[in-house]
Amino acid sequence: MESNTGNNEIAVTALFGTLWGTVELSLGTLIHSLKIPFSGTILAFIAIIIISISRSFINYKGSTLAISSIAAVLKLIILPGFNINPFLAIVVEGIIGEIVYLVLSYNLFASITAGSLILIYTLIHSLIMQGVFFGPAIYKVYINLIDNLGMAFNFKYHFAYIIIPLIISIYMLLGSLAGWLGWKIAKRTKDILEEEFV
Amino acid sequence: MRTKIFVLIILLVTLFNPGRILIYFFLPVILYFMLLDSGLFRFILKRQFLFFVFILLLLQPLLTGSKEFSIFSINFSLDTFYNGLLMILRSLIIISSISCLLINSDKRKIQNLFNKIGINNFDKMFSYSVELLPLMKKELKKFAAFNKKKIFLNPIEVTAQFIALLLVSSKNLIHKTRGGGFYDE
Repeated sequence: MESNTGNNEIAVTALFGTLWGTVELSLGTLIHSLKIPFSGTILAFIAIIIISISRSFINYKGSTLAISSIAAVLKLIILPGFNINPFLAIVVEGIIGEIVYLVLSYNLFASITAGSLILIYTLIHSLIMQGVFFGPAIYKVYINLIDNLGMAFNFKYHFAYIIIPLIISIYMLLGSLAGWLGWKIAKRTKDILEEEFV
Repeated sequence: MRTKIFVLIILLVTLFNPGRILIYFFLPVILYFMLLDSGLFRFILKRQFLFFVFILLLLQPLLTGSKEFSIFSINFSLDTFYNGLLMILRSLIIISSISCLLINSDKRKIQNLFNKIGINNFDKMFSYSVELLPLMKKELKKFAAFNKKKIFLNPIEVTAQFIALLLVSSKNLIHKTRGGGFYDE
């Protein structure tokens, strides 16, 4: 990677990594302190946009992983304490983005796919952590509670089988929207830069 | 070092042991953690943790399982309550042992990890970002203040302009590393 990455690419990688890190540090802290629900989803939505834009400018192998690593380390070092959860989430988001762009290369479809996969991961991330903390039985608790909710509405079948795919679809849709937004912003940014230099 | 290994063993045992053994295991472990650092249990007052306590110890026994127990004419499942309690105990040990391991970890070691996994220029990129961070915070604040309404009306255009501005200023960053000033044109 060292041989392929020029000084300009290193600086732009640092720029997008810092942008992501700054959003995590400022907006993330604000959202958490205000106790706004779905804070992880909001931050992931912005992260997808940043990933999608960055890949348009720095399309070398490992660039998405590099910007996510910078954002994760910035958050880890600057915030007090040692909160592994957001650190892990940022790195995994970067890994997912990197794999998608490596396989599909940078285009609108890849941005949408990366977006929906990253946002699904944010949904799964908290579920995985809950499974580690409380044990796998927590999933059965959720399914039972959702089914009981269905029974309250006189729904005969497993209510969880409808609610869970519905939540996943909403997350996929939101992720796709973020990916599309990132792709559009990147395109417009390139136009602005061209206009400026022509 | 010995404490770290001991805490790691506690964590692994809790992760992989059958639930009901936890009842006997729980008290000595919690006492041990309290002696190490009582601040490890601060999370039990967090809203998120209390929400799980509510679901597992109150809501779940009321709604699911065979309701063989009754108190104040409210029927609930004792077996489900017991399972919920075991899950809470498990989480207490796991969260506090992970916190204990992380508090004693060196953040710089994790930073070095990225160099080892193949992001070769990570140190260089990271030093750039540390330099960029105050500028970025300032620019992001300005951006948020100026475009409060515009960002909802035309998010693509406003964000694109901001990114373009950042990309142009990043060129100055390279210039700076070659001996020039950050804002030199």
